[in-house]
Amino acid sequence: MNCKDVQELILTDYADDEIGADVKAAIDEHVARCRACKEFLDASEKLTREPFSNARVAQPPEYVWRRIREAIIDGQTVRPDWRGMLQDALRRIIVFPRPMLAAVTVLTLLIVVGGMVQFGSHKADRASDISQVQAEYLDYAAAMPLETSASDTGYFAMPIEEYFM
Amino acid sequence: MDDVSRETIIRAAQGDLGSFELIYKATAQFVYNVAFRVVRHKEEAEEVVQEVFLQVHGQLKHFRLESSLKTWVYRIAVNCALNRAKKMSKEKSRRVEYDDTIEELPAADAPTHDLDSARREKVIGELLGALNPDQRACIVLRNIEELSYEEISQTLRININTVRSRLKRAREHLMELGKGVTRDEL
Repeated sequence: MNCKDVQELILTDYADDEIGADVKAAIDEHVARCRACKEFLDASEKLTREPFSNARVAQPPEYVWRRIREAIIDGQTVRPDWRGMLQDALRRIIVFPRPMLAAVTVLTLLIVVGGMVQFGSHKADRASDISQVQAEYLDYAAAMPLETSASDTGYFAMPIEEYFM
Repeated sequence: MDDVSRETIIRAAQGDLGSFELIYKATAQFVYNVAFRVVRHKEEAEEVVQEVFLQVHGQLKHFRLESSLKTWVYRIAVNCALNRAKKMSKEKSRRVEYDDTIEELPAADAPTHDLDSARREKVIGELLGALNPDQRACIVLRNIEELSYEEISQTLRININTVRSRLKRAREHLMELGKGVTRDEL
C-alpha cells in the first residue's frame, strides 16, 4: 500500500470505520512504519474529526411546533415533492448499474451506426441500379436506326400530315 | 427514531395530529441540528424545520412503510436546508452588507454555557462555513449525525463514491485551513 492510497483512506473509510479489518490492519502497519503518514493521520484527527466531536445538540424552540400545528390546522401544508417522488418511482423501476448502462449505450450506438451503414449501402445499390437502367437505355437508343428522309414515317408508321387529317 | 411505530405513522398519515406530534418529537432534534449546521443561522433553521415538517405532513400518505422514516425525513431536511443555504448564498453575494456573524447553536439545557463549549461551537461554525453547501451537508451527516456512508448516500440520493469524494475534499480543505491557522498563530 503506498502513501497516497493510505492517506486517501485516512481521510475517508479509515476515519469513518467503513473499512474491513484486514485493510485497517494494513493501514495501521503502514502508519507504524511511515512517519509522513503518521503525521498525516494525527493532523487529520486533529483538524477534521476532533472539532466536531461533542458538537452541541439542541431542540428547536417550542414555538416552532406551535407554528407547524397552526399551519396544519389552517390547511397550509406544503405541496408534495412530486419531482422527488417521480425520481424515486423511476429509480425503483429502472435500476441501471453502470456496466449495464454502458452496455446498453454501446448496443444502441451499434444499432444506429449499423442502420446508417445499411441505409448508405442500400442507397448506393439503388444508385447503381439507376445507372444500369440508364446505361441500358442508352444502348437501346444507340441501337435504334437514324431516320433522316422527309417522307419517312419514322417510328410512328404514318406521315404526320396524314395523322392530323 | 426507533420509538415511532408503524401504527403511529399510519395514524399520522390519516390526519391524526397527536400521532404527527409524536413523529415531530422523535425527529425534530436532528432536523433542527442538520438545518442549523447547514444554513448556519438560527431563524433560518427554524423556518427550515417548519418547512420540513409541513412537507412531511403533506407527503406522509405517500410514504412507503417498508422504507426508513429516519432516512426519508433526513432527506427532506437536507434538501430544504441545502436549498435555503444556496438561496442565502446568492442573496449574500448580491447584498453589500450582510450580517455574517457566526451563530452558535443554542444550548439545549444549561441556562449558561461554558466558554469551552462556546469556543468549540464557534470553531465548528467557522469550519462548516468554509465548505460549500454539498460538502457541508456530508460533513454534518457523517461527523455530527454519524450516519453511515450508505445512509448518507440514500439521504442525499448520490452514489456512495460521491459521498466518499465529497468527504475527502471537505476534509482536505479543512486540513488546509487548519495548517493556515497554525502558521498564522506561530
